[in-house]
Amino acid sequence: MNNTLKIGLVFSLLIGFIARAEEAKTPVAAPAPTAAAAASSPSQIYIKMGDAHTKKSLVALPAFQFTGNPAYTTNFQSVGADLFRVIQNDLTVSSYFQFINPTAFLEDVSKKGIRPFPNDPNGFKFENWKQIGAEFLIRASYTVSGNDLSLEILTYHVPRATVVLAKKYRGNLSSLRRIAHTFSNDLLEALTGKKGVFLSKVVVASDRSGNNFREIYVMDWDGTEIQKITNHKSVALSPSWSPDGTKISYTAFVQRTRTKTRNADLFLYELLTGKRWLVSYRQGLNSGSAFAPDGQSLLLTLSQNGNPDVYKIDTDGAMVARLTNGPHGAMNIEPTYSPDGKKIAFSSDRSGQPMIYTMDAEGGNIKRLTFAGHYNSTPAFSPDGKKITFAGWETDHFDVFTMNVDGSDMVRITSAKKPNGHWAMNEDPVFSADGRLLMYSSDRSGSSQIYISNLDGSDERRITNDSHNYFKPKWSVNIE
Amino acid sequence: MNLTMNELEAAPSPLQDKTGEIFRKAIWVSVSIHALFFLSVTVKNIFFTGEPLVYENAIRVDLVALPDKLPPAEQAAPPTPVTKPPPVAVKTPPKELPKVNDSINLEKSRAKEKDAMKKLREMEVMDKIRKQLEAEQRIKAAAKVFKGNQLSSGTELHGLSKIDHDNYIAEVKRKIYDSWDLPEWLAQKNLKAQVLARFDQHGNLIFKQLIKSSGNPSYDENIMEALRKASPVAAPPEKLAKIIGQEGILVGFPD
Repeated sequence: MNNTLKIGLVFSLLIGFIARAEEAKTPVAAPAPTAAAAASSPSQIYIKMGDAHTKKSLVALPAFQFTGNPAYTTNFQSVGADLFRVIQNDLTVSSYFQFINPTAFLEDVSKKGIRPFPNDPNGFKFENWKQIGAEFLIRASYTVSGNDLSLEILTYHVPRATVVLAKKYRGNLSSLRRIAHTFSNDLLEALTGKKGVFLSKVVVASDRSGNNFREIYVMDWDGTEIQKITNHKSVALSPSWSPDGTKISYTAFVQRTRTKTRNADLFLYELLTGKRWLVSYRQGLNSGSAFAPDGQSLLLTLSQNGNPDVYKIDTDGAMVARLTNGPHGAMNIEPTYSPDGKKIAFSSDRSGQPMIYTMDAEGGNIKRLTFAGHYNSTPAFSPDGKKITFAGWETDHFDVFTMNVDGSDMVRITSAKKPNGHWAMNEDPVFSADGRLLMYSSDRSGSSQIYISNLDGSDERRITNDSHNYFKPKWSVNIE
Repeated sequence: MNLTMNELEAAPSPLQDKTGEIFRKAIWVSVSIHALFFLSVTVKNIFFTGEPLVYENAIRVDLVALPDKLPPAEQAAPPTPVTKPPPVAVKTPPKELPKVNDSINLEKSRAKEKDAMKKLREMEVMDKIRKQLEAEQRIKAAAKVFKGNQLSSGTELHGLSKIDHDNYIAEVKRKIYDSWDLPEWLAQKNLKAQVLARFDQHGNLIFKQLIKSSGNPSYDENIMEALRKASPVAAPPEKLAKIIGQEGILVGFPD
């Protein structure tokens, strides 16, 4: 019996080895990229063009026609000019368009209707716009009646002589900028399928009100209509938008009424109602808050247990979970969710110097992303979840960088000098809601101002235009 | 103890019994192990299929036949004995040639000329025929057999024709790329389209057809315009002219 057992065992082992040898996989050859396939047999010759070099579309934007009574609206010219400027600025920043100099126009637009001939016997002729190379023509007329502003605006594709977008907008004179921004968003949606970001707002901490106080302000994306929303007469910082743009969370050093001590507490402010309430007032820091994509909870940094760590709380302030724990007294700060809510990026100095890390939304699977530089902080995800932007310290200043979510392909976005010849600090970068623009603060003018740029750092534009200081801007979605 | 032979033969010997039992047991073990083996292999192939073979980027190779027998190394020729060169007969200069009559010579020379021309023409014809034959043989030779241990050209495009081919394709691609004016607002959407283009022997676009639409009429129009503006492209090399004119080139925007 023992002998047969032994034979059987040896036999089965042999079979096992043979089977495994049979399973040996053939390595898959790495595909070699070919730009153009050569015909080695009389089959179809195929050329892959690859990505085209793109160009900006030439747009003719003549001044808007006033169709009301000048006697009743004495400021009609400024109304038209404001509408015009807002639209032109929006479309320029979108990076899709380039405006033709009005001196090149062949038609006197003040004498021609906004519709084409022959539909309108006095209409414009497409030929006159084709000749100057316009791809798009935007014709608009507006009228003011009392406090009511109405704008009729038509966008034409000149080569094909077709209408791309025909819209009428009406509203109070005070919502002039909103009307203009709405048109810009609608035009981008008609052309590319994606709305623009021109109805978005920026929340920022600033020392505008003087006295070394820092309060929270909200402004339009283009730096206008600045609104103060806190009056703590203290230092308020790191504001953050709720995903739907209705609430703002921020931290302020407020004095406790009984103990008279100050603590960095977390507040929530609702824009429409002006309601404000205290969310987290744990001992120590309650800062660097960030909403979850579903708006139901917040990430923030608490130092109540000694070291600053990342915690998750719900919008009432109740503790949900502690997500990081040191190690060894390290600080874990500046948490931010990925757009799908599955990952969190944060800054941690557990390796000795602050670097960018990611972890799962429940706190595990911590991965270090940056190994270059000496101090990397304030990470932010792009809306498509593929890139992260952050500020990296080099020698004596911060610069804005972007990289893939796995840490590869790091690109420097900013590099500017201050009037005194030193390198400027470019910090706290965030993406626009459509992922096409970056916003960050920069002190290249001498004070910390807000700037935007394209994803590759081109077309840098200054948004705020004064000598106050603005810190940690956050860019909202379109607030309709 | 004192069993007779017969008795021994009749009664099943204890030894025989034991071997029979062992044999039966061994058969069972063998059968069960074989069954297990076949079962495991079947299960593996049904449920755990291996990775599929990747066929892309295959390279074309020529099947190589068995090598020819190499001719035997030639043996060194036996040394020839050194012989004295035969004495050279010294020729006495011939007597003066008698003068020939000129007129008769003219006719003769004309006849000779005619003869020579005829021969030349015949040689030309022979030459032509020979060249034709050679050309035909070369075409036949394209289907020749490649044998081992002999370095041969294979059937891939090689040498100058491959360089010509690659240069032409690169030129066409460059010309189309330079004429492709894609506005930024169209570039956003990851649109893909394919166009079939045919060019004549001078590089003029003689036919274009949208094979695969991107789904966006503005994009389709844009790439057709790019092809139109790119014409005329470089003239195709002789060997490709026919293919370019009849089957054309399939161009993918962007791929």
